[in-house]
Amino acid sequence: MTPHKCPMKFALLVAALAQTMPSVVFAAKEDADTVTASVCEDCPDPSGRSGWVDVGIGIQNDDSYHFGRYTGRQDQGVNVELNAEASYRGSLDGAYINGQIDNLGLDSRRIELEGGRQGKYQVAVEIDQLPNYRADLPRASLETERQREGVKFSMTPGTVWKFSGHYRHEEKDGTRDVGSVFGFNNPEILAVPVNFQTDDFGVAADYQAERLQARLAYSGSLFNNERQAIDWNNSGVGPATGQIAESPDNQMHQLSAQLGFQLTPLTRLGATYARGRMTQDQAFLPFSTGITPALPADDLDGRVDTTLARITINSRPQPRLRLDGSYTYSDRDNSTPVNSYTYLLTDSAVSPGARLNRPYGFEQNLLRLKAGYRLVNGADLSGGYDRDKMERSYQQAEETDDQTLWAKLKIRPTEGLETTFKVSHADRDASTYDPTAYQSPESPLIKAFEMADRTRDKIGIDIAFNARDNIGLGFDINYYKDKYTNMVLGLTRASGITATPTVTYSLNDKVTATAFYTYERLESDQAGQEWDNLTPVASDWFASDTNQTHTVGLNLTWKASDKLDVGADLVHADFSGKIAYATGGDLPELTSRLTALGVHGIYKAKENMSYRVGYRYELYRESDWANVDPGTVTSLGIAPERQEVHLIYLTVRYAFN
Amino acid sequence: MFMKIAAQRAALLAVILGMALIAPTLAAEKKAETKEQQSSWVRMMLDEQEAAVEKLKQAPFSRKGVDTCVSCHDAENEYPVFPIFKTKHAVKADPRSPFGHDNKQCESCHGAGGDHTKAKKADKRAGNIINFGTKAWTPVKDQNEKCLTCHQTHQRIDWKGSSHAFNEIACASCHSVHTAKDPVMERQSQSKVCFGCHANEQAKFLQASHHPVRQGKMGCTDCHDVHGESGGGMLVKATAREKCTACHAEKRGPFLWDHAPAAEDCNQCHTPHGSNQPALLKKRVPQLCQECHSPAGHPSVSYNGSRLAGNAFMGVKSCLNCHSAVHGSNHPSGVTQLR
Repeated sequence: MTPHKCPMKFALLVAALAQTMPSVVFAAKEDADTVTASVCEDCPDPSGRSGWVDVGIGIQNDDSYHFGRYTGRQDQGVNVELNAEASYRGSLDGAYINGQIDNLGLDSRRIELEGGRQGKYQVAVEIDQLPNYRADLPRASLETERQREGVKFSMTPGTVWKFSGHYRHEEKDGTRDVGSVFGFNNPEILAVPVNFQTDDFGVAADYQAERLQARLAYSGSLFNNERQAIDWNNSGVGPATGQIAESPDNQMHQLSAQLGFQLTPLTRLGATYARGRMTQDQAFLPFSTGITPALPADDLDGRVDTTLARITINSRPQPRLRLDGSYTYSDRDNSTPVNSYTYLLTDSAVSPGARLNRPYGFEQNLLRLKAGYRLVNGADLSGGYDRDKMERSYQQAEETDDQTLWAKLKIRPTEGLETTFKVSHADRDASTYDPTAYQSPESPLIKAFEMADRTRDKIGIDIAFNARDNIGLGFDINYYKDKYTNMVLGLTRASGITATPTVTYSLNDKVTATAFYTYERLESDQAGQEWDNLTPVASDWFASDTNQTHTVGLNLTWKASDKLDVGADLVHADFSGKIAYATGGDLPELTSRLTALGVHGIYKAKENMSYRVGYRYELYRESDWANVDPGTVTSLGIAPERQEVHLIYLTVRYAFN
Repeated sequence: MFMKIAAQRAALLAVILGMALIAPTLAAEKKAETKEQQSSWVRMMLDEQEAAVEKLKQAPFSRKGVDTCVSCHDAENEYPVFPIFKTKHAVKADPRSPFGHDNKQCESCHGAGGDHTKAKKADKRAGNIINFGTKAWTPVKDQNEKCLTCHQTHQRIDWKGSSHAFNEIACASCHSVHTAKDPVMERQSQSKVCFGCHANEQAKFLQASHHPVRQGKMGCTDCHDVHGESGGGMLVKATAREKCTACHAEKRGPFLWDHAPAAEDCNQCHTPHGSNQPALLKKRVPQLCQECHSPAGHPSVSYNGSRLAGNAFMGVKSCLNCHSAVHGSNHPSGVTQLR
């Protein structure tokens, strides 16, 4: 048979062959050892501009500080909804600009602009606002807002070096609550203005070669408080005015170097060294009353030098075995001068004796060793040893020594099922504890838990199961128990359990649902002893604290049609806190409950236009025994125990390219 | 003669019809194999995976690079790859990018594809190219080596000694390279990626006091160094205090009268993800303070329910009604944080 005599048959034969043997055809083309110049005619061209703008309104039926806390949606009424994205990319030179606007009509607005020439340089600027609506009280609204403006740049002269830098200015303004007192009588909660400024900046040089990578960086932070003091008038017996020191201005500077070296293809060394300095030398406030004891200095001249040194080594001597080790030295050398201060007791009377200030310092030596071995059928066994030695100055325990052993086993008993078991035991020795050290006024029987003998046991199980391609199941449970041995007064025991089952289900390629439930229970026991003038006046007391939270979450997405997408999400968190006393009454239950529901739909009217409509509901309730009866405290009032809000929003999105 | 020609034609027709019938079946099997073959490669023993990776290192590159790849992996393919062209990975003007001049385009990351395109069967094809992801056949360390060729810099210098690396987490477990936007790189969507493994933390951010993560104003990487191990708890700074005071600088000090736990570690009193107590505290005041303090007088008293009524040591802010400078005081009279 020849083509020109039987063209139809030949065509049929070729067509049939072409269906069944495409790989043979490809194999005939790709014989070269190297990639020749690719034109990529079928690749999409990303150059040009693209983006979208979302404009609309949101209507909220009621005020809610809880709903608006970080979102800016605290007020009843109508809000402008405005979000946008835009980008431009050049076709040949790597030039690009990306812009993003989030929530322009709300106090949580953010604007970011980034551009440059990829592979050469990049500049980004950002304006970001973060509101924090804490509580709307009858006598004051406790709210603060952070506004940040920042710029970042990077330059890449070649492929080995990269230079970068950043600067960010933040202003935090608003109102916070501060407790105040004269003597032991009638404390008053003050509504105090907040005017903080923080400037962060830094530069870095990164070097990347095949075996050696390095980074040298400097970072600095300046904190400025526009207010030096909180002054208020005394409405009761005692001095006419009181004065509390505001947070002082301070600075932090740090120089750091980081190195990574691939010693062999299987072994890598790492090293980090950083030196920092924190300083604070704000002038002491003068005493606000007629009594003015002499001060040993005009300011603290505070200085803390920090050091971080770490070396790491990790190796895979054979494909199944991995070995990691690290040693870290971290030091906080507080060289703030120590002086003797005669002071006033709440602006009223001179202290009976002078006190020396304590510039707390810490030195940590941390060793971590771990090994892992890949067993058959995808199973993996790993384990490790940590040793954490902490030395403290001016505290009751000069040294604590914490040792931890842990093990983890991961198995895959069947396809799609992975289970991990984790267990660890830690033992802390604090035998250097001296309760009489540093003129402590504390009971000789109490120990600060961080410096006390302790055993900590942890166990955890993590299960991930892909039942089918469209069903994923997970279960994660973790439990820990701390026992403070040799503890007479103070924290004697703490434990916690957290368990989270999750499920992800795809009905088809149009419907997906995910759900989770988390149970958390945190418990602790503590012992105390009432005493006065070195003589116990009542029997020991024991308290047990139990915090229990149930959290449920559900998320659903549905592609109803080519033009319509629908989504819904629901969360419910239910907390109960109980503090029980072995002798004496239990405290009333603390509760907080959050229920939040969201539903939205996106309708694609045209190729470049879509309508979005959504509804959000939130109900927050709490009960707190501390708010029920303020006693002799002059407070700012009690926050609403129930906050409920409905929000409807409608926006139009126009896309362009 | 006629019978001979007719027989030849009948045989040829039978071959053609047979191939036409087989082709759809093969196509269906090809689709089935596309899903099946991946799991069969995953089921491979580690030794077989290692051998396959070694074999790939000897494989030739394809002749026409991305032109070859997109002839199969086009816009209609089961695994969409085209969105990568909207990302930084596909910028030709950047000499560091896989699509930069003289670089190997798709094969920069997926390895030499010559054997991949020569393979006749779909399951062989999949095993002759580097796959990425948690369900991929390629061992995690070999997947990650590809990414680290370019990205082992900045905070990733310490990747190989990090917890995530030790626990055999693939870069592709968290990162999406073939999407226009990588969810883990966006502050608003990052935490959802992390919650995929760290499910317990999701509930913490729904508790009464929490950092603004679920509102999209903070991401996990604002505090955590996920690629390294700079500080305990995988923090971006050497200590928790250094990280916390980067945003809460008013508590940095040093103060004239420091509060020892506040000078050492914020986590002694606070739990940073979320708490149902005010201000991210682990426990209510005064019980929290009484874990360490019991001097003579009111601090040692049992503040139980029978003493709640009208008690200034328990109501409103409890100890902080008076001891407001709990993070430290710079006032000469602030010895007990009253000023």
